[in-house]
Amino acid sequence: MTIEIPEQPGSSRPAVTPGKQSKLAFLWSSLLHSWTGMTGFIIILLLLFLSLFGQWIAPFDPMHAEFSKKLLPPMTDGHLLGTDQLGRDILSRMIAGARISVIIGVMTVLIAGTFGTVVGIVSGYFRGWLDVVLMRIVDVQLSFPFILLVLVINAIIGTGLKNIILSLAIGGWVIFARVVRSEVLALREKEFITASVATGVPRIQILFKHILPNLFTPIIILSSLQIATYIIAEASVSFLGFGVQPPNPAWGNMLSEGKDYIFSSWWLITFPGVAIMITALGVNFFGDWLRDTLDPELKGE
Amino acid sequence: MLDFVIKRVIQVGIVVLLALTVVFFLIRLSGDPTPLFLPPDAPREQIDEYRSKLGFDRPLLVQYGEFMKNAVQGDFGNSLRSKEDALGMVLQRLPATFQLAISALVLSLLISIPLGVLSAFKRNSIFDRIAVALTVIGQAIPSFWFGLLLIFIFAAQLKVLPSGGGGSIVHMILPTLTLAAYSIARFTRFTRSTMLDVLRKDFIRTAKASGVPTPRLIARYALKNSLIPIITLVALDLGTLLGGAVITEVVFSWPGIGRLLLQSLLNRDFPIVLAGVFIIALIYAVINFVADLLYAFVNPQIRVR
Amino acid sequence: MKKGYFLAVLLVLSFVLAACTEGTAGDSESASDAKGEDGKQKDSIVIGFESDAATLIANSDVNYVTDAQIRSIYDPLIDRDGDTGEFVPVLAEEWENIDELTWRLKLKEGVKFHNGSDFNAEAAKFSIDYILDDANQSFYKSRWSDIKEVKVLSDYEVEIITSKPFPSLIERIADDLLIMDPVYVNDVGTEEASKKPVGTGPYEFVEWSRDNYLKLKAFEDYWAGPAKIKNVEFRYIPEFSTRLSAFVSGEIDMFKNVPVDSVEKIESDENSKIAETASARINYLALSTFSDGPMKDVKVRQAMNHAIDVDELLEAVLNGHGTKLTGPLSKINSGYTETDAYEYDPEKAKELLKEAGYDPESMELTLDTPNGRYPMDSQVAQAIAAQLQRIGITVNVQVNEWGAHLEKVRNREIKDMFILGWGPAFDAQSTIENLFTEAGPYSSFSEPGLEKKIYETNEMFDQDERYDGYAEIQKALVEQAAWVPLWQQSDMYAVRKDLDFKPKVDEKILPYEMSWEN
Repeated sequence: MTIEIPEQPGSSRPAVTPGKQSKLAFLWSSLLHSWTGMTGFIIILLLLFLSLFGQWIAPFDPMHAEFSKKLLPPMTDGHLLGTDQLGRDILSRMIAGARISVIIGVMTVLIAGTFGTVVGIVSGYFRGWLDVVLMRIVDVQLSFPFILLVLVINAIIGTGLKNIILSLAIGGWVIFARVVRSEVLALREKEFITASVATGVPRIQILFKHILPNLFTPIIILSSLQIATYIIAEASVSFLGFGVQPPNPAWGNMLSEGKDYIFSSWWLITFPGVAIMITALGVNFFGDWLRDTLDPELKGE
Repeated sequence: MLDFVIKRVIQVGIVVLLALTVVFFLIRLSGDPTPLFLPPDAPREQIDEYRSKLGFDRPLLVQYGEFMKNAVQGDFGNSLRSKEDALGMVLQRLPATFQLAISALVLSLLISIPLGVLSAFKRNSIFDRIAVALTVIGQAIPSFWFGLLLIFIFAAQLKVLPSGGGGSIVHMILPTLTLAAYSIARFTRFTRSTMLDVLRKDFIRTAKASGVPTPRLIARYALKNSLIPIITLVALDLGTLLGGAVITEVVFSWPGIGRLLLQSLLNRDFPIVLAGVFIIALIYAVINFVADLLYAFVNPQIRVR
Repeated sequence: MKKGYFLAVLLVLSFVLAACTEGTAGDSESASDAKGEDGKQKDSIVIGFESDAATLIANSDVNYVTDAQIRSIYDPLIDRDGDTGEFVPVLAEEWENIDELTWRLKLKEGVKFHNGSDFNAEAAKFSIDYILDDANQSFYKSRWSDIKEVKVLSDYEVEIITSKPFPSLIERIADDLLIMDPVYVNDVGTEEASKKPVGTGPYEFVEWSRDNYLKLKAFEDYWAGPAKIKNVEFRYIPEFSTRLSAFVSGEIDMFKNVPVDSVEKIESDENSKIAETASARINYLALSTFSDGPMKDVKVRQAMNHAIDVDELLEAVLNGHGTKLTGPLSKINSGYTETDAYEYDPEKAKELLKEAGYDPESMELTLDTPNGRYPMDSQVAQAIAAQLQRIGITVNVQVNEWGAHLEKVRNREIKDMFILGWGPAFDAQSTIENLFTEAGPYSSFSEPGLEKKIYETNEMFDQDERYDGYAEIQKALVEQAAWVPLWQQSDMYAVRKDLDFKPKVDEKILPYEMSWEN
């Protein structure tokens, strides 16, 4: 549940970009050879599919309460995974929840990633007093455990989907800022950059032409690994009474509503928990594979 | 070296002050605590009176100045709920939190270092693959879910372990396991990759080629060289174990800081939240500082960043 | 090297072990130890609570959790009967009303505090003055601010003089006031006294570990005879599923607030039972007239009353655990009068809405609810939304964290409807004046004519006139459809089968009245 702080500072990855075509082909063949990467890839595809088309697949309306059918065990009355305390179909709610989890994961990464990247670039590339100030801010924030920070922010700005995304993003941007900054610092020292600077190419041009393209890989890797962290963090914050609130079928929310039934109706807490686990597992597998493949220096092989 | 220490101490001070400032202003925005404490039938004048007694009616900046002035002297005010000294209440919870964090840390190390080393040595074996898969799962389980599962199995069904509460060593088993699950996964992965890195180094290859037996190779050469990065990671994670144990503390009724902080957030007990933030930020900063010192001590090339 | 590593680890581990056993010694007697399996009579009880007491000093924190715990340490002057809520004498033997502003109480003689000092009129005066003293920041103060002076007439007689008529004084004494020892508190100071309390109650303080447990032992010189259960521990378990696990595994002997869906599980256990009583706490759906919405229209409010099927909610969501409420007050309330209930009649509801100029199909309302504050609260809200959907109204359920919910209600920010509870309420005044006037936001309903009537009735001193006044108000409130009354909460306790325990209507948990059957 912590932020995964990449162990190595700026890497010395070769800065040559192979042709797009060959790169994709290379990735694909690498994916075919990695069972973990492939598992992760399939899980992510499934998740995306559910979140896009879930509403047509779900056997029931995820919000429809049918009191006479509450707490049905799995495989009864056409409810594959049973029903919850209000008689809502759990499978349908889980499918709807997939969408919410994807939204939380992706939106948070987009917001935190964009903001953190900008800060990281400004800090690492332009240096100066701005760098000092920004990095002190990062330090301040890192002086606080991620989950506790998200909790505090969420308590302050209030519950709900939008606010939990915002809380996670406020808690998560620093990691992007740190990583991007150290990447930029490493890139600055690269020969092809120092050479460009020496020949008088404008700094902005260097930034867009050389620095940004080379940041793409580390950001993608970090993003994929962070998504799992965010999804689990959302569930944890919901468990503690904040986060997304009912009747929203977010997984964390279903868990926190279902935990009171741990003795009487095990399926309420089991399925969303497993879903979160599989999702985090898939995203992590995929992220690991991505890192190992795109950034051989970062992996231990 | 002294220079470095002084500079870092000042830095820690600034970081903690800034953290307090941010939380001070944010927490005031979270709402009014008075209705949560006064009886529901308290008339508006009573609420206003109480607010002004607490100084909530003054301009925010004045409140902030006052707060900072006192906070610097270690006075965070009294808890709104219990009227006890806020900092004292937080400090009271510190031993329990430390106890849990350290036992989780020890457990993680005991399991993860041997596991990581073996995994690295037997790379791509079945053992390695299972270990890697387990570590990914360890990082993917929401800890409250895992904790409830443990309670369900060991406390409610088998009735062999207590479901929580502070106390004897048996009370610690389940919360330690829950809190350690994530660190075990993290440390194992890290040890494995660090070991793999070291194993590729020339001196290891030379040693191997000259016939040094494997156990000796691990202990004498490989582990020794991967210890420093591992120590750094462990130091960083100790902070997380201390401050991030809120979920474990709630699930297992553990009387630590995280639970106090959560309860105070829900109660809007501002003085306690601020005192808690102060202590956690301080611990975090100190741990980072010690880790850096250790690092600099072992590796003299690193100096002030 | 390897050896050294393991040695170091061992060292650290043993250090940790030593630290643990040293730091929190004395927790060895868990509930299972006290089970008396060796044939000896059980004399201990462990009671699970969701949170610790805010403080152990009396007359300070209004929260039920605090009160339930310290009530074993301190005695009140007057208590309530556990079934009817009627007043019964405790440390006050008699009380009488001299005139509108003067009350006289005769106190019990021969009562001793745990530290040996005598209970007398000074103690009673001190305890009331404690609430009134600004320095103590008692949360009770607002309820007592009409007290002008407490006079000690003799060792066992006090006179209370109020600044204006205070007809509900005895209620306040019964529900709020607990007696402290002035000598002790003045000696050690309030800070120490709030950590090591001394009272005249059936149990004396042993040890308090915050967020962990509170341990008490029977006071052998208790004026009404020593308690049968000698050792009491309140253990704090914030998470419900953990609480239930601790109960199932025998770590705790009882806890309050069992969710309705766990009742079956507990009853199926051969060592456990459910103790249930209809509480003096009511739950309701408030219809806000404080914001400019459709709820300002009486016809819309009446329509809501017709469209919501409370019986179905009780049956389907609460599994029948709750007692239907039809008017503003519960039957336990001394001011209760019977009023006509609104029948469940969706057609009539639609008609009323049309008369009011609303098309149900295009109506969209918000319903605010807390989560986990009252039995099944957020589920009830979702169920109400589903019921209103049947006549075409779209209801957006907004679930709030409790602090935020309360603040929204207090700040009158709620648009249409919200769920809230009130109680324990035994008298008409406290409920009616706080819920149905402009000043009290808790039902967010007020109507000028009615408001005048309420304030007039509050001032009445003659009990019969008062009763009639409130009865009229109740009828008017029902006619006005001030809210949708839901039910009296059912207080449910999970209890060991062999524990003799009878739940009380006012939510008090008194180990003194419990015993183990053997």
